[in-house]
Amino acid sequence: MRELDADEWERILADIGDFPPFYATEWLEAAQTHTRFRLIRVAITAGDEVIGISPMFLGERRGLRILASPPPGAAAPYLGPLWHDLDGLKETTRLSRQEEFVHLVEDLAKATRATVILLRLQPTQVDIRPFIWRGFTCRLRHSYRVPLNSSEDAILRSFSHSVRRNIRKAEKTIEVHTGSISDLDWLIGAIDMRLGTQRLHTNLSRTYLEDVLRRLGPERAETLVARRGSSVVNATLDLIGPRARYGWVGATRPQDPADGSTQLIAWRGMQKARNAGLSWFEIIGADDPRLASFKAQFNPELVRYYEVSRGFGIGKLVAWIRAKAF
Amino acid sequence: MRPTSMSINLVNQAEWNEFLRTTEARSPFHSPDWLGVVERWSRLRVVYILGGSKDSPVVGLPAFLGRRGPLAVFFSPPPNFAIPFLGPVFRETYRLREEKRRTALREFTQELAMRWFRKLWGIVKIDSGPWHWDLRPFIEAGLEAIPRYTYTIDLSRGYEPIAEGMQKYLRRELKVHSNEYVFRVANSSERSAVLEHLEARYNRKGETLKVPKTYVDDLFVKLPENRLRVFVLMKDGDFATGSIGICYENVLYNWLGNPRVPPEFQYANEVLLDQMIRWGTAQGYRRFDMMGSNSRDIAYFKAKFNPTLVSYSSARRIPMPLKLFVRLRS
Repeated sequence: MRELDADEWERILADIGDFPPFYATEWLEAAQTHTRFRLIRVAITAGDEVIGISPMFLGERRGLRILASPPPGAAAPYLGPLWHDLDGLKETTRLSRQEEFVHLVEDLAKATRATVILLRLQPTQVDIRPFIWRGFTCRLRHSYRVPLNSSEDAILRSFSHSVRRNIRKAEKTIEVHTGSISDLDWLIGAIDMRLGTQRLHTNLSRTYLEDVLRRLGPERAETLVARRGSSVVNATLDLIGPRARYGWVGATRPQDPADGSTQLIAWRGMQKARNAGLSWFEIIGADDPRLASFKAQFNPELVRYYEVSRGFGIGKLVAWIRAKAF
Repeated sequence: MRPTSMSINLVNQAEWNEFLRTTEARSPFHSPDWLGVVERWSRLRVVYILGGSKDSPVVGLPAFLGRRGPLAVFFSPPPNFAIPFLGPVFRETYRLREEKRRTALREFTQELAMRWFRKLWGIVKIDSGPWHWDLRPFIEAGLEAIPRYTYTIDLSRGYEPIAEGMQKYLRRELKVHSNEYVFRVANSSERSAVLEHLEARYNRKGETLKVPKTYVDDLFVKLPENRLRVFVLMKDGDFATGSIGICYENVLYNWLGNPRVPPEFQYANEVLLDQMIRWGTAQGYRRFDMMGSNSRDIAYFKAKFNPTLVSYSSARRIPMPLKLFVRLRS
C-alpha cells in the first residue's frame, strides 16, 4: 500500500478518466472537513505500477474506530476502489487484484487500529466474492439511472404519464434556473423540514454544501432552483462527473406536492446532462420503497451496488448488526 | 395493462408451461418436467404461482412447500437438487417499463408474504436467476439478499478466440495433456460413473453428495431426449473424469460433475471443460454456463478459462435460533 499526495491523486484520476464526482480531490477534502474523518489516498499497486486508487477515511463514531469509504455522514452513495481498466484484464488477474485489494484494506485497518471496516462499492464493482471469502458481511443497495442516449422527446416519452403531465403543468408557472450559494439556505431548510415530518435527521449542513459547491466550481456542481414568480418552490444540488450528472441532494417533496416542481427540476437536470453529452442522469438512491416508487416513474435503469463491512472485537458485533438491520 | 391489485393464482403444469412461453428468461429448471421430478424426490409440493389477472398473468414463480423437520419451508428451488437458480420470471413485455415492473413485482411479493412468508415459521429461500435483478421487494418482506455468481463463456465467437483468451499456462497444459485423454459424449447410462466419482470425491472430503442419484436417474427418463448429456474423459481405457451437461435452447450448462481427480489424471478437468467448449461451439450453442463460481477454489479454477462473471441473487429468511445454531456449529 502506498499513500498518495493530492497531486499524484489528481494525475492518476485524470489517467483513469471515468469516475463519479465523489473521487474528485475537492469533494474528498470537503467530506474530510465535514465528517472529521481523516482522508487517506491509497494507491493500489502491482509491482511499481499503480493499478487503481481508493479514497479511505479514518475516524471515530460512538467509540468505534472506523475505516470507511465513503465516510459516514458525507451523503455519498458509494466510493471504494477505482481501477485502471479492470474490464480489459483476464479474469484470473482481475480476480486476484480484487482479492489483493481486500488484503490491502485489512492491512490498513490493522495498521490504523480500526475496529470496523465499512465500504460502499461502486456499481461497477459487481464482484464482491473476495470480501465474502474474508468474512465480510454484505448488504445489497440500489440506485436509479436514466440513460440519456436517445432524443429528448424519446426520453420524455419513456416517463410515466403522470410525470409528463406534471412537467407540462409545472412548465406553465415555474421556471428553473441555475442558483447561487445563497439558495443553499432554502435547500437545507427544505431538507430539514422534509426529514422533520418523517422524524428523521440529517448531518448535512449548509457549510458542507457550500464547501462542495465552492471547491468543485460551476462545471462540476450546480444548484438548480425552481421559482414561481419570486418564490422558491424547490431546489437541488447536482454533481457532474465526466460521464454522468448526479441528482445529489434536494428536489424534496414541495409544499404543494401537485405543483410538479420536483419532476420539472429533475427533468431540467437531465436535459442539461444530455446537452453536455453525458451518458446518464443518476437519481441517487432506490432503496426507500416510497422514493423508489416515485423515481421509477422516470423509467430509469436499476443499478445495484454493495455495502460490505467487517468488524474486529466489539466492532464485529456492530458490523453484523448493521448488515442485518434492513 | 397495469395491475391495480395483484391477484395470485395457483395453476397446473399445462398453464405454467403456457405462461413460460411468454417469459423474458427461461431456464431448464423452470420446465414442469424438471420441477415434477424434483417434487417426486424432495417430498415437497410444487406450486406454480402466477400473479396478475387470470387471463393475463405478468409474473410467475415455481415454489416448493412442505416441512423439513419442525420447520415449514418455502423454497424456489429446494436445496440439494443441484439447481442454482429458479425464482420469479416475468412476461417479456413487462421488463420494458421500470414503474410497471416494480409495481407488479412488489404487489406479487406482498401477496406471497401475506399468503406464505408471514404465516410460516420456517425457512424461505428464493434463488433468482441472472435475469432478475430486483430483490428490493423481497428485502422489504424481511428476506436477506445474498449475492451469487456463475461464469459463462460466449460460444458464438467460435473456439479460437475463446482459446486465445485462456490463461497462457492453461493453453500450454491443454496442448500437452489433451492427447493423453479421449473425450466422448457418452451413453446416458454412463452417468452413474460420473456420479460415483463425484460421490467418492465428497467422501474423501468427509462429506456426502446430497443430490439423490435416483433424482438424476429420473431426470434422464422424464426430460426430453438429449436435454441431459454425459461427457466423459478416458485415459488408457479408464474413466478419468466426467460431467453431466444440460443442453437447453442455445445454452450448454456444465451441470454436475468435474470431481477433483487423482494425480495420474492431472489436468483432466481442464481438458474436459475445454472439450465441452469445443463440442458446444461445434454444435451451435451460443453460451457455455460453467455453473457456479462462489467458492474460492472453484472460482480460480474456472477463471483460467477467462469467462465472464455473471451475478445473481438469493433471498433468504432463516429463523434466528436456527441461524445461531448453524453459526455456532461452524
